[in-house]
Amino acid sequence: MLPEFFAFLGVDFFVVTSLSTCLLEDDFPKGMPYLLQAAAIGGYVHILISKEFLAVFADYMRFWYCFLYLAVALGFIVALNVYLAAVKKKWTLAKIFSGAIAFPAIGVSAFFVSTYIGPLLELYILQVAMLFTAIVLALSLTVFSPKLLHGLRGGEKHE
Amino acid sequence: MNRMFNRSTKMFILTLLSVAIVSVSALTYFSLEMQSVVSVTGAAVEFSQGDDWDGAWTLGTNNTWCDIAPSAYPNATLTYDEPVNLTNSGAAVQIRLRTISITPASGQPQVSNFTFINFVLHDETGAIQGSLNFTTTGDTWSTPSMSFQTMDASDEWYISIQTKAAAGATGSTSVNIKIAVDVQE
Repeated sequence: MLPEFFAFLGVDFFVVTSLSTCLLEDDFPKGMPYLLQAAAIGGYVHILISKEFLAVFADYMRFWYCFLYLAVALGFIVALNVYLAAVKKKWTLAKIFSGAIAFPAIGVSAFFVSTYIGPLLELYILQVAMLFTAIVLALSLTVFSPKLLHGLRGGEKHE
Repeated sequence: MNRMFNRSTKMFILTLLSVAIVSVSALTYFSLEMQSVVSVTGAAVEFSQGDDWDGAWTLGTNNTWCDIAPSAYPNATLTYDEPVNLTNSGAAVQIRLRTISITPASGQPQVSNFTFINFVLHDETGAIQGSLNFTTTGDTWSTPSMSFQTMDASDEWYISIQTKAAAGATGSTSVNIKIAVDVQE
């Protein structure tokens, strides 16, 4: 398995999330599906650059920038899930979203990442876990923080 | 109705776009997987000058081949005990000596001046691991080959050379032999 597999996984997640937000267009900002499609195209460009500069980039570097892209994709999914639950107050929809998209995406990613870095896992498990958590948390908070905080304080209920 | 149509159209366009993005990404990924990278690195197994090295001989680029012009005495065997060494600075590998060229080439009348030129490869204990024995039949060289031998990591082997010229060989005749080392991981 090449490190670019994580970028490919990220592209798939962005595409699935884009279609989901299009189906639930009343619950998400209008431009969200297009933003996610653009992010998926970004992932494709990512893989393309890796291919063109294969001899230049070391495995270590390729792994980290592909892993970062996957983390951003997962961060988006988690953030959208939190947005549904905390801002829109649509608990049932949020539960369905997490069960159908968020948790499978995180589970699949965790499986492939642990398979890839298996030999190194014992050495760096704490650092990887902390970094992964920090990225997901930071993305969730930065994308939706004002509405999230408002929602957590018991703001306007839409449902 | 119009809103429903809009949503369907949007969904259809996004689905098409999604299929296209995933397809080209998958194609690029698999082409990447099939692409092999060959990077040039310094050779781990290389020739080096031994105690009996002659200043007129040359070691090739990256020390992966050498150009040797040994002397030969008429009707007497001349031995170079340790003209060339072979060192392995990497992991254990399979190696063999290979002939690149020999001058004068077969067909030249000068060839008949030589009886044999034998390159013998010894390991660090002195045991023979293989040889390249050039013999002549008239003005034709019999070009030898060698099978692969395992060379352990950090080993230093040496090559000895034995030469013999024909009884009536002319004194001004010389031979140049280029040999290389092939490595199998």
